Amino acid sequence: MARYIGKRVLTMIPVLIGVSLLIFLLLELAPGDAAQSILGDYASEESLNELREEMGLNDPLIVQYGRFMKDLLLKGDLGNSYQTGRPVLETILERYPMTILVAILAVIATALLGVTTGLLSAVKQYSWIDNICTVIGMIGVSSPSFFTGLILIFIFSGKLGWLPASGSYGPQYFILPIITMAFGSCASQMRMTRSAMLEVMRQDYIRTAKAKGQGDKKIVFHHELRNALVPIITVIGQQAGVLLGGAMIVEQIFSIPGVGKLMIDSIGTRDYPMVRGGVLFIALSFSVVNLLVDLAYSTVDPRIRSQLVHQSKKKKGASA
Amino acid sequence: MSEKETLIEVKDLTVHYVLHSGTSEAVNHISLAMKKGETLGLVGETGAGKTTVALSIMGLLPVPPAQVKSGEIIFEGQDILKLSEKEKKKIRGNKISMIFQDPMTALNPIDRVGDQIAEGIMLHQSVSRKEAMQKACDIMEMVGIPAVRYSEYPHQFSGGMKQRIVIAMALVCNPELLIADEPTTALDVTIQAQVLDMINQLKKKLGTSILLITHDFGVVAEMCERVAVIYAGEIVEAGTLEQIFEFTSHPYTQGLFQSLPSLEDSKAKLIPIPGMMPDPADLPEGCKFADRCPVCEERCRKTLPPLAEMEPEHLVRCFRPLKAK
Repeated sequence: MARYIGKRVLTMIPVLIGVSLLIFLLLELAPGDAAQSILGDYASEESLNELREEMGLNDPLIVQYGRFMKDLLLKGDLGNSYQTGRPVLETILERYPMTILVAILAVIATALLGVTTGLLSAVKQYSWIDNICTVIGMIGVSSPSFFTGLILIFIFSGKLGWLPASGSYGPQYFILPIITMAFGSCASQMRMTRSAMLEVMRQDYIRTAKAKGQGDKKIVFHHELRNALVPIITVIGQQAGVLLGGAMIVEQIFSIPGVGKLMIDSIGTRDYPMVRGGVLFIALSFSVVNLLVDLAYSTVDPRIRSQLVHQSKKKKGASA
Repeated sequence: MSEKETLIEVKDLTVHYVLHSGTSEAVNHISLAMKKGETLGLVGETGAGKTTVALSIMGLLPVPPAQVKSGEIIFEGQDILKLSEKEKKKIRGNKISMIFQDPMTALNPIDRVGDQIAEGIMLHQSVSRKEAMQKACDIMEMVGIPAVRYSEYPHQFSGGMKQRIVIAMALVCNPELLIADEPTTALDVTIQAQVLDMINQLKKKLGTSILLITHDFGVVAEMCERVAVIYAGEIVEAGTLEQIFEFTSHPYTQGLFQSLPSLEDSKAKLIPIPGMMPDPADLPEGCKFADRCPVCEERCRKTLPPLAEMEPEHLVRCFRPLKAK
């Protein structure tokens, strides 16, 4: 298993290199000029040119990329922010815990809500519970988070005054953002749980369990839910990946100082080193989440587990 | 045959599947009786209603769409169909258990096989987890699987081994009645013989009665003492093994025999039964076999022949039985 994890970590390297190359090219294509945005609209052509020269913006792209990679690999340095002059890495690491905290809470809320409602609607298929869950889920999946967020702020902060609308000074500040994120994503979680459960409920081994005289509760939780977990974990993983990249819109609405808000601000000010660093971090979080998801599969399903063990054994045999 | 105690009696069972598109009359007025320790073969083609009978006895009919229209199933003096779900659970897997057709899909893929066997013991007997595991190991050895494989998962076993595990699971509580729904259909021929042989030995050892559902007369000849032939949800012929094999009376049963390859006469051509079984959603009025019957008469199409007794225990549903003894 350790061998497998090691292999997976190694395969992240080419992914990250690809992402860095892509983001370099995309930022080059993007309109606007970093020097201009630093010095302002009324800067003279000379001072602009001077600054460009100093920042190395006049060098060919390949040279710029080489310099970036050299700094990254040799010094672990992602450059300095154009705006604040502080190291990018430091800024991101400062902001990241907030994003991770919000993301984890939102994923937990989504999973709890989505899996419970999905389970209910599968077990009581076509009942009124199923219908209500489906309707609420459809509303959730079709409301964009800026809309849900604003409505929630309007009701709970504006009208009722129960919860703060923005900031991050205590637990109560996270309630609305987390509800906003969970509302949008728990619909897909619910639908996936429902269809995975319905699929499993039709299987022969469920009939076998019933033929043993097993009770309903045990059948649902032990036999059915555990077998439906692989697709459920897939969806949880997808959402975790997205949220760890910073729920940009939600962080923006509720002024949460996470990576998402940092990215939006940096894109606005053409702070390229910050954007590059942020994107690399998001790609890294995605890869890590993917690895965790695959490991979760193998704990849930012995077939996947033995496949992984088998694969690494085969590799061992080949290299010996 | 010696007089033995009746174990289970199915009386006038009618089960329909009610769907939006129409009603499928899967089982119509079937009556069966089994004595303790005997093996009864329920023979018929796919879709004849064999599995529906089995699931009715197990109380596992998918409701909806299934509806029991009439009949009772008497087991130990009470009608199983009228029992509460809780009481049915006490019988299921304990006094009556079932082996399903496809061992590949009958085991939970993410549970250790030993635990799946032990599950039944823990449900029906008041034993500790450790004792249940020990019992599961014992029965694994009994069906020819080394107990060291307790902790392995279903995907690590071959089809024949899986069926042994399924059989172990079914027999672990020492049931009075074992329903085997085509237990060997999904297996290789060589493995089939092994598994049948094992079921026979276990039956002798444990004294279990077996309701064997099959479409294979070879299996019936090897395993059964009595046979009921079922066609389009009705019993068309029933009797002892000898009566059915030597004095075949219903044209359908004869058709089944003629469509079997014979070892003695290798030049004899197989004679398939022409036509198809009628759609259970649209059954004909008279004899259900009339359209495919070589000796069909006018009255066969109008009135359903009664299940008449040719001689003691030998019942035939035909106006023109082939061989009267």
